[in-house]
Amino acid sequence: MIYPNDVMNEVLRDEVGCGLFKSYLKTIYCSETLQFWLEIENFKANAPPATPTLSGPILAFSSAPIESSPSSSSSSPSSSSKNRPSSPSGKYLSQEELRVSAQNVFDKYLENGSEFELNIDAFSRELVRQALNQEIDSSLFDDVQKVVYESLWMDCFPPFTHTAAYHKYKQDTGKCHLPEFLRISFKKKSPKKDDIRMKTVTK
Amino acid sequence: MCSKKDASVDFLNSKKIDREIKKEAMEVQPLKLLLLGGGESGKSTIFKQIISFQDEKTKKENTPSSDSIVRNIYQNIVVSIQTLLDSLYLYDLEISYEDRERAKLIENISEHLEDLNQHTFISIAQDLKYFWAKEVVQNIYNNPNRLFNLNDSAEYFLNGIDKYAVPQYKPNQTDLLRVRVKTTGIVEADFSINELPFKLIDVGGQKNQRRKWIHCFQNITCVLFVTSINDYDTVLEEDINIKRLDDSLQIFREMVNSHWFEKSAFVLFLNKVDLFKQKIKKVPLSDHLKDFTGRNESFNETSQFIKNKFLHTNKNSERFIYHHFTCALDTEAIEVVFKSIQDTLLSSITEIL
Repeated sequence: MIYPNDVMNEVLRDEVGCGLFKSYLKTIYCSETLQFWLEIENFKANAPPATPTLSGPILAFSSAPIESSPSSSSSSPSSSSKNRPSSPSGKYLSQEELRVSAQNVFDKYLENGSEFELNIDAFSRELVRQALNQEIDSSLFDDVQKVVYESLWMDCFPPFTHTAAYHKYKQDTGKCHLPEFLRISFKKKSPKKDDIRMKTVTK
Repeated sequence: MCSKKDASVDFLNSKKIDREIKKEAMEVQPLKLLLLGGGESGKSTIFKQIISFQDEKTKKENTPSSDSIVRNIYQNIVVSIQTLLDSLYLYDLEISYEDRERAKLIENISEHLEDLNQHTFISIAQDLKYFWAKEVVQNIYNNPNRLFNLNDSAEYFLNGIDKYAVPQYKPNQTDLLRVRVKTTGIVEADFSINELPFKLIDVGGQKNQRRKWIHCFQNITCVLFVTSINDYDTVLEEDINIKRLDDSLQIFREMVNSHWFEKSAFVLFLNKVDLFKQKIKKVPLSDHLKDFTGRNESFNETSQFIKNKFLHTNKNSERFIYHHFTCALDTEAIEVVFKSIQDTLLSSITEIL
């Protein structure tokens, strides 16, 4: 069974597809969701990984093979980007730089009444506000990014697939016919799958 | 004297003009129906209902695929159970070691909802059922003063886990109406009734989405304002300092008196009346609306009181506001309401013509 978010992930990984989706979101006044999602992908690439805690998302950040996990995450670009070989520690931004960049994101997308305010609950917002005063790592926006991702695939993507632009894209590129091995993301991963990463979305 | 060439150009031009006139005549401005109201009041449910009354093509274009509805249902169920499990910790309730192991399984999956598929869901279905049936979870769920927000369809889906946890499961109309997807942005659907084009517009209701509303305020034929009448004791998800009823009254006041809608018809849906009837038995209305002096157990008195609060915000004595007590899930009732709105609009149009 192909799930729509697998198709969406494929679109997000593709520069042309991502561009089309972005233009569509503009027409329904919803572009801040994808914009935020992409900015966080970029933020995560520049921030050190979180120190694994027992209850925390160990999986996402460990370099160990993911076979042990009951919920492998190969099909999600957000997770696969986390599995990218991390850049050497020197490549991360400093804590001060990260704080400035995180605060900017917060003011732009999360703060009450901000220009691109996301549709998230008060609790999630306050958690991030508190975390801004602590040591900043790449997991800072994880929960919010997850909510935004959910609303992208549950709310925005299905109507996008009914647009003429999408149909043309599908025909032109032959995209969105998933290779067999991507269809069942629950199955154990073969090493090949780790190579599937986003190409262009982090900008 | 005009040359042969000029004549042919003229001829082509006049053809072109003819065509444009024809085209213009065909492009009648659609009747625009705009759904407004706070978050989780039921706008999208009414949207889905109105779509379901239209022809097959409209339905197909505006309904998500069956696969994606199934996914949404799985997501709704896992999130609901996870919320209930989180609340166990919130209330400091002890759970056994074995239960904790089972809970961890669910937590792991709710951490990676983007990967939740049918296989995963079926593999944890028994654990989800186990927790939902647990007495302590039921107690928390049934506590009228519970501290967390569960969507109104949680119980419906949680009671049907067995039905959803089979590979051949196909969602029915009720499942489609019940599934919760938060609307972000602006959703439009075009269809025609008696050859007249209609445009139905749905929006996200949370405070943070309202900045987008202005984009669809122009030339609205009819505003369908939805409020969840049972939300007299709850606060906004996006701002816990604001009561849902106060917020809903506030936006209704702004909209009904807005210059944008001076010429628009106004319909007020006092929605979720089924839940309201249950709630007034458990949560006295006068506890939350101090100015209510009627009988708390009387549906008639409580519901009329809230209705009047809305209608009294209207400052324009010329304006008539249609109102309906509804349960958006009740297809037959919504169809009757929609038919009556449709008739009112059509008759007012023929009046103008």
